[in-house]
Amino acid sequence: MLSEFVHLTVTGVLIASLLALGAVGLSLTFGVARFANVAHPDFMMLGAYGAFTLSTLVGLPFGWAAPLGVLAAVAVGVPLARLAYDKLPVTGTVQLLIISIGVSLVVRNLVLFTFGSNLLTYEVPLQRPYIWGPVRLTAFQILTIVVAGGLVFAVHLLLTRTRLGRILRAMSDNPVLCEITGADVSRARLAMWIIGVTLAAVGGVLYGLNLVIHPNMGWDLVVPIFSAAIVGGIGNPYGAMAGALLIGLGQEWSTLVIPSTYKEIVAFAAMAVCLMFRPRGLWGK
Amino acid sequence: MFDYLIAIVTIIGIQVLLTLGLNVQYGLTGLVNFGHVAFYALGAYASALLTLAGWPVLVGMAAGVTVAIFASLLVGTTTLRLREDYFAILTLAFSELLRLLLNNMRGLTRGTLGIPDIPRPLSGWWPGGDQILYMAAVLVAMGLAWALCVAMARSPLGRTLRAIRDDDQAAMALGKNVLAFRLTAFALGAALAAVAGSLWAHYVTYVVPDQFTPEVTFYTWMAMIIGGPGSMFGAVWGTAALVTVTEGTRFIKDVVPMVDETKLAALRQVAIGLGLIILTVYVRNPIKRRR
Repeated sequence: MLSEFVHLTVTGVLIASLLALGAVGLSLTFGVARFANVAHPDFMMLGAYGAFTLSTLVGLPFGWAAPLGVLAAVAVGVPLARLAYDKLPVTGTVQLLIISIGVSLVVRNLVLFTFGSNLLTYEVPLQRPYIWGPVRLTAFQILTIVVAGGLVFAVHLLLTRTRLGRILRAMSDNPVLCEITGADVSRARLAMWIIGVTLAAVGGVLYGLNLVIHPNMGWDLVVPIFSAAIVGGIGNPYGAMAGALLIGLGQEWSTLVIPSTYKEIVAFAAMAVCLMFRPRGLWGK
Repeated sequence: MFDYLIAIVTIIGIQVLLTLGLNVQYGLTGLVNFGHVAFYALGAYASALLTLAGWPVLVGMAAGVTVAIFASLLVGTTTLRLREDYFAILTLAFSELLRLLLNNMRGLTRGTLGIPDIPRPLSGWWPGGDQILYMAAVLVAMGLAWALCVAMARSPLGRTLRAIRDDDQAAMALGKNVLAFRLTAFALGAALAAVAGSLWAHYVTYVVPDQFTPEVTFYTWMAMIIGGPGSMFGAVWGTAALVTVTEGTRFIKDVVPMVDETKLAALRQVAIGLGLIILTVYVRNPIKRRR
């Protein structure tokens, strides 16, 4: 029982790391651009397929393919986001929300068209887990948790210690006031997309390292990632990290009492309960 | 060819019911429902299960409508107070949750195996004319729903719903119970979706959770946007145009080599995505908002 609990906790933290990489970017874009980008988890899928293309199809060693795959995802994802969300003559959260649904459909199905619907894995050597008492972790799992933790910490530093971070936080507080004070809002928005897509793409590659990738992997993460961002207080990247941990652990621990096929209900229930009783989220402003 | 035409008209009729439901919710009231397919699925499954248990089709349909209305009130009371984007995400999540349940509650729904051999009403009354009779029944249902929606849109109820859509604060200031009116519109749309689901289940005589993906919702959104949100007549011709075009593209694979069914399906989804974007941006949207 104890070892099962420890095992679930480890898995939960692993899932939380992946969710956090999506949720932090989603929360940041929601705060700054002021709409719910349903296509955000699809940037994870782009990263995963970027690394797959470069490692398996081109034949680069995975150590090169992974960062270059993230770069490729940024090179595709950022201009796409700029075009769809910043350049179109559209205002209003609902219109942008519908557009993001369209973007998600287009991206997912172009990948499906190109790569097919098969489940794919990276060609990386099998890992023997390190064992400390009841804790078993492979090198990839440790890498995932460390990279996710490091990147989220880097975003924290960026938001609190740099000029760009100050502008981004000001934009999410009051965009008009921020622009009046002379901040370059357009460049900050570009930076926001770069940060969001990079985090998501890294999350996607790490997802592929631990699980299997398929064109719908991003879409399947829409509910848990939104749940993490909303429970944490949407617009607040720190809340998103905490929310991801809550959802990741909650989903895994729930399998102690309910069948594991139903664990996704946890993410939905957490989001619904949170919106009912505390719509701004646990750590929302 | 004639059979194919009848099939397309039947599908259009069923899809129009779905579009009318969404149009009552978004076009008339401004509710951003991204989980429309959930109520369609509830109608289909309730009707299928009850008729297989020996009840008449109309009872099954009524049960489907009841279940859908209950579900919409349950979802609505908890979420309709929220901002529109939260409402959109939650309804979307609800429809995915329902699909998860349909896939896993094997005792009731047989999961991914689906429910086969659902009885088709009006079969055998006119030898060789089953399809035509069913099409006629669907068209009658569609006509009734359309008349109901038009009458409602012109009634004081419809006027209040439009007022809430355009400015909920003002409606509230006039003493309207905004939440109750939104719930009414949400439940009405859900009921129409359930009727569509029931008609679909008895038409294809086979339901499986994979038929109820969010793509159905967004397809319906596109049909509504083509016809112009808020216009009941637009819901009919928008749906007819969309279904005709997308069904027509099924023949592309006979003409263009190297495109199999999966790739064609992917391309069709790309087209729906692009269509949603382009229509949202460039088609004049009658729904003006203050924010």
